[in-house]
Amino acid sequence: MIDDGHRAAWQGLEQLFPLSGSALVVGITGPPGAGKSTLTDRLVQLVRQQGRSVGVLAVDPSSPVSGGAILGDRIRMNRFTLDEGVFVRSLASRGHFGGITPATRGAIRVMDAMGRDVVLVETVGVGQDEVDIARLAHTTIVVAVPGLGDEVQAMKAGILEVGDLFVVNKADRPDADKTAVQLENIFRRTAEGGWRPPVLKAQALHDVGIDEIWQAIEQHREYREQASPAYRAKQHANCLLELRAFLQQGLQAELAQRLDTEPEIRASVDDIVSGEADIYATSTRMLHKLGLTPPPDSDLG
Amino acid sequence: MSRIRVLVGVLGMDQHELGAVGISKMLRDQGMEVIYTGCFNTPKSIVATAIEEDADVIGISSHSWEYLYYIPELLDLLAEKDLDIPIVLGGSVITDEDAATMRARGVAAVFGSGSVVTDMVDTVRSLVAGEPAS
Repeated sequence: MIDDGHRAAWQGLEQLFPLSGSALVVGITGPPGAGKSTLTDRLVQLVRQQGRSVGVLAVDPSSPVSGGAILGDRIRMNRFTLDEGVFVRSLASRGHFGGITPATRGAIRVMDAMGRDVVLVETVGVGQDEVDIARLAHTTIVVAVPGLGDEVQAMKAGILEVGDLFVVNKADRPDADKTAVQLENIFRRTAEGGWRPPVLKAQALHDVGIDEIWQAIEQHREYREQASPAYRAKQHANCLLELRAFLQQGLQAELAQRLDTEPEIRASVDDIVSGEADIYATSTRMLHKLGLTPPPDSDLG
Repeated sequence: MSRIRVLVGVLGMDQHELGAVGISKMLRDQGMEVIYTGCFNTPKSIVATAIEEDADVIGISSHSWEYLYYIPELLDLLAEKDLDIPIVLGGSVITDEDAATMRARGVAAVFGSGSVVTDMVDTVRSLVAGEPAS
């Protein structure tokens, strides 16, 4: 129900609120082929070795043409299929660019309320909005691959700003050190009281560097708990974006419903098509009628 | 908006994945979400996955005899857990006799060699809509 975006799901999620808030949410993003799923699997293993439970949300892109999707991330973690301490859910991006859908936050809350100690959210990592995961996660890991070379410089500014931890995976490749240094240089200057994202090297496939990654996540948690002004400002900014996204979603759903049922809107389409009415004036009038804006000026142009 | 979620997998030691991959692409191109579980599945892992993923249909692709062994166990496990998820079985080595046996046992639809892909997709759709497979 959450997946389908039903507003009715909001009520259920509200009820879960008192039960949630204790899970550690870690986002894992990065370009395709960087090894996100493999890293996620290794982190699941680590969490299980700690005796804690984990939920995994694996988001894959939906086809822009058909709307369908092949969700294959869970294959990389299939050794945990029968482990009750691991719950893996695959989600399709369903038209939302860059991996975060309104459903993702709902799903995180459900897993949190289920009692999962850690929730790992693995997202697509393509497109502008890959940064969205940072709004939902306590700690966001960006997985990069060596050999990107100058692409590191060209990496979208957004992702460089929101990553809390950078992992250069497949670090047995040449250029791994170079890529790591390039990333480190970018974070050389960190604001007072801010968090300087560590750049770690790893080979997830060969279980190299996983403990260090977890240590960095723990260090980030300590930083967050200190609640420096810089961190609080970031939290506030993220929350505002999230709230806006929620309200937009609700508004769009409401609007879609009204467009289908409001007879005057349908009638005005004929007038616009025939050239009798102006689409700007009509829209202004409709927005007022829907209760969203003050009455239009009657003598405008 | 809602999407049909189909779990697609290969059971047992069967390593023929092409059919599974092929049908997955077709289902995706028809707007469905495929939870692709690859090879080396057991009835238990299929059921556990179907629960986690809220699968509407379970699609098993088979190019070996193993379906005769595993499908009954899968059906029993689903019944045990009170899960009303239809199974669609497809594979080029499934004889007409075996297909009848499987259907009698409880498989919703069986597609042997020479099956038309569009028929398979249509069957998935009608099963989700609650219609029996023709």
